[in-house]
Amino acid sequence: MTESSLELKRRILRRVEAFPGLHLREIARQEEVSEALTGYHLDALVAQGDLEERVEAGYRRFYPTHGVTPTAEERGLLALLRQPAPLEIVVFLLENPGATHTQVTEQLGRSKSTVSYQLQKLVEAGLVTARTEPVGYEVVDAKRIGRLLLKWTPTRDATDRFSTLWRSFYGSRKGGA
Amino acid sequence: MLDAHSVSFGFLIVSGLLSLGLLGFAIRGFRRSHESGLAFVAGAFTIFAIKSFLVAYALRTGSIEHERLELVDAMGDLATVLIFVAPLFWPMKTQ
Repeated sequence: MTESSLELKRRILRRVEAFPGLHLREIARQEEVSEALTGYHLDALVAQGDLEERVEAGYRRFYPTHGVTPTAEERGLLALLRQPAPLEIVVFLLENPGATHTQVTEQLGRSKSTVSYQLQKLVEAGLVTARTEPVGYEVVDAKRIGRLLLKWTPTRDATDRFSTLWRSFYGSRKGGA
Repeated sequence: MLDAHSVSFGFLIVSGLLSLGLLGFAIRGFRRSHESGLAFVAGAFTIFAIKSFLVAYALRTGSIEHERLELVDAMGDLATVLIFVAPLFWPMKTQ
């Protein structure tokens, strides 16, 4: 799951929360993506308990299953994930549970030291766990974290926006900002 | 009526203070992410802030003659730009 795919899934969830009872074709039309892709994300949202599906008059209609207020713990996790690097790592590990340090480094195009630092922070926060056999990392309670990321966009403060600005200037060079 | 020296002095102080603010953002960003590019950004803003305050001080006190002041100003600008672009060309250490 890339960040853009996560963003599409989040948009679909928000659309259904805003307009409960939308059917698949209408969601696909409004999001301007194929019905197959929309159906794929809707199935995933139903499977993880974010949406409920009912077939009414031949239409697959979708309804939200949750409230809209994050808990204090969820706000704490979102604060940790407001920086791009840990967010990218968590999203990558959700899609690739058990990925090694090298795989994270190569796929995200970040320096080894940056990935080590961020993974250590995520492990200390209890968001990620390090496996020894086989070696790798995975998100603790992946289903809940995946759901959390879909429901809420981590807000970025001025420092994060400043860092993002310079990161975009220096590009994705290893070790660059 | 403000003379040109006083206006320049004011602009330099404002530039220096803004640079210090941006230096703060760069340091906080580096401490959060440990991304080396932000260390260069912090370095560039440090040089720029020092240069601004130094030139402001020299303008106010007249302690540095005009030609030397221009030299300091130009060198400060060059150093700032070089530090900003260094991460684009410097072979970054990956481990």
